[in-house]
Amino acid sequence: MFLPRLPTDRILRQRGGSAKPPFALWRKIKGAERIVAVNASAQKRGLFPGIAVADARGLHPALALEENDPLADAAMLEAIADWHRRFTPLAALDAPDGVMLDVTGVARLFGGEASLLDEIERRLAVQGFCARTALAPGPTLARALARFSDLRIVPAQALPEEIDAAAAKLPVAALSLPEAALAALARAGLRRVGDLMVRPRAPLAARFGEVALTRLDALTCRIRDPITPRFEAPAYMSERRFPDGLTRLSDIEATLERLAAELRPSLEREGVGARELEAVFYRVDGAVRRVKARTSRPLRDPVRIIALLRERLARLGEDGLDTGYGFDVMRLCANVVERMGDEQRPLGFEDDESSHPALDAPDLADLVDRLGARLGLRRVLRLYSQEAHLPEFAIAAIPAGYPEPSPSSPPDRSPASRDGVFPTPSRPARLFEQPEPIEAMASSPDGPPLRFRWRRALHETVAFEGPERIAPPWWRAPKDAFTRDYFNIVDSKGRRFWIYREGLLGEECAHARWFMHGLF
Amino acid sequence: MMRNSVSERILFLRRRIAAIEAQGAGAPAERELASFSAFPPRDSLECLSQNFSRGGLNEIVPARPRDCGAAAGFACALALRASAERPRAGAVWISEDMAAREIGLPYGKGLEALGLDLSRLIFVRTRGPSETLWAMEEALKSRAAAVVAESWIAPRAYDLSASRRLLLAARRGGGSALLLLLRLCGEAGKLNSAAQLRFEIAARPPPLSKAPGQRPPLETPGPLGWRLRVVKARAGFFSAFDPLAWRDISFDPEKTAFRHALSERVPAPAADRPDFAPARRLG
Repeated sequence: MFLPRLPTDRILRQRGGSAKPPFALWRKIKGAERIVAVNASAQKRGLFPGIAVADARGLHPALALEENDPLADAAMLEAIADWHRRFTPLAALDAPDGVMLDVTGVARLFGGEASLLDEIERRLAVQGFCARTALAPGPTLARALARFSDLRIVPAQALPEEIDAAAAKLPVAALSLPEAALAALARAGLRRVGDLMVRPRAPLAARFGEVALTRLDALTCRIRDPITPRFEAPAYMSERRFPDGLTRLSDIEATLERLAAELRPSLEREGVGARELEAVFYRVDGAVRRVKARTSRPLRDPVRIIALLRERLARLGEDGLDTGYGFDVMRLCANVVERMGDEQRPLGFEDDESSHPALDAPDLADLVDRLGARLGLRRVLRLYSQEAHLPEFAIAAIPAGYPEPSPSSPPDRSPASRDGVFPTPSRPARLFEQPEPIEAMASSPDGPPLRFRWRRALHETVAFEGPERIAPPWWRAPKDAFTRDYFNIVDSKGRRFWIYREGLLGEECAHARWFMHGLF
Repeated sequence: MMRNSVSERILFLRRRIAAIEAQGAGAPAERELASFSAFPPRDSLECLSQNFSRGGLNEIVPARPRDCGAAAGFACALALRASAERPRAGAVWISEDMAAREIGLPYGKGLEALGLDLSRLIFVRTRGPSETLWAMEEALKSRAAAVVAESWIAPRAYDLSASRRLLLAARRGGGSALLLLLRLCGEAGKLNSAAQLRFEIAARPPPLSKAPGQRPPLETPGPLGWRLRVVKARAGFFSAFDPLAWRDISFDPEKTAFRHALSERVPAPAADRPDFAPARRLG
């Protein structure tokens, strides 16, 4: 697919209006202001890319000019490539002005190859793009046909002779060789690809380089020349097309439900479940919306998939999804899959926990998915004990969707082994994310604080326990970490605090500082 | 005549509401009764340690801003009770960012020491009250045994309909919802909500020293305890139970039981700390 006028089309499309005045884009090339793109009516008046701006103005004084913006063009091309994924999952950029599509086996869905090309061209024309399409067994040939030939289709089952015949008529520029090689070909009087094909290969390679032969072989489809798709084709997907755009959220959800139901058999056949789901919405006017949802375990049940996506959609809302004129193609892909055992349902389903203790487990995983879909995966956590002495590192909070960290020590939960374990010192039920500095007065340098001021309130100690000394890990030797002495303090009103003094007096620092770290 | 028709209409509406409630949960009356056996008319020790509100919404309000920590501790104790009943159903702890700034985050080691199974706990952090309420409802619907939420919600945002949603979700899931309203310090009596029980919590002051005036020697901290009163309880429960009387209770993590602090004998200072609540975490 070739977009000969992408830069001008992009700008004219934004401006709207049916009248098309001559219009051109210029850019500074090697210090000279040159035209780089012209629209159709400007071309009719004899303007062409490469001409100097002053000459162009001389030819046509009313010419509208604007500076070229290659970055915006590239972004536009990417959007167009994404839009093309409505036809086939494999779409690749062919910068700066083309898109390659792998339509193997797709054309039948659109009523044949010719009507597929018509459809693409028509849809792009509606959006204001002038496009030329061609279809061939090899990407290089298709690219060359779109740019240099009126021949649109070389069918996939074409014989090598037919392909050769199609390629022979192309100009040598179709080989997309460097400028110097093209000039050398022109000097040698070789104008058409056919001129090269009839000549012996060895002298050609010697004169124009190995690359010329490689390109030639690619053009005649003698070597495989794969395209690099912009996105990996999802392994599992289902999609639906509509003649008119869907705008209502309830319709969209209902469609997703059907898509999820269609996705299930293919997942089941392979014995996998989806870990990452993506719903892609193609809007009538060309915009593409994606909604991704990750799961905490392989999933294939349509009901659960829908519940998950519904959360995502609810979070976006109607405005976030921006239905506009409606979506006419909807696709549900399982981007990441994982092995998943088959679920077995008990025959007599009883709503009784004692008889089905395992029934609780899927509930929580579901909950994790649903909460994570709306709140963000980083906000739904599980807590794991770690082998660390510093209290803030003794518990690791890890997003519940992620796998469990490998335990730093083998968990041993048998009662026999617990008997020998030294009882853990008391720990508060709450811990501040950042220890808060307090002013404290202690009776002795290493004693508990007698009174302290926390958040502007004075507290009087009546009972305490401690100190429990926790040293920072010396093997990491952080410079700013000091030994902490923790005290479990009860104030006169009965509130309980977990306070520590940082630094050994006289050894690590001159003035110990006090911090509030937790509440009981 | 006028009065008669009004009362008839009210009766009719009451019946309608009862019918709606019956749809929501199998037997509301039974459940309601079960929830109040926690604090029955005779506030005796064994009754306190009985079944605690199952499938209901409980609100916990600190008496003063500085009692927020104590209120959170009490919520933790109630969550322990609720999840001890259905140890496999798991617990969900929801912490709002603002609340976390105020009283910190729940600390896994501390919860573990109290006997909560970390492998069956999901910890959720929310950005605001609306997310908290939503997450709470979702968690209750998915049959978690205990859902604790610490919220900085404004009294205006937490109204009858919001609390009613939570209550229905809790009834359907059979879990117990514990909502910690940190912003409503001291306003427990003014709040209007559908909750079944509302506690006002303060820290329990240590026993007075024998020699006033003089500074007593520092002691060791006693068992975990609170001073609480039941501000609200649905259905005739106040008759024999003085709601506004503050009572001191202490909590025994070993048996997940509440006790009257005053009826308890003061234990001799233990040389060694007892091992923490072992039995439940093995299950």
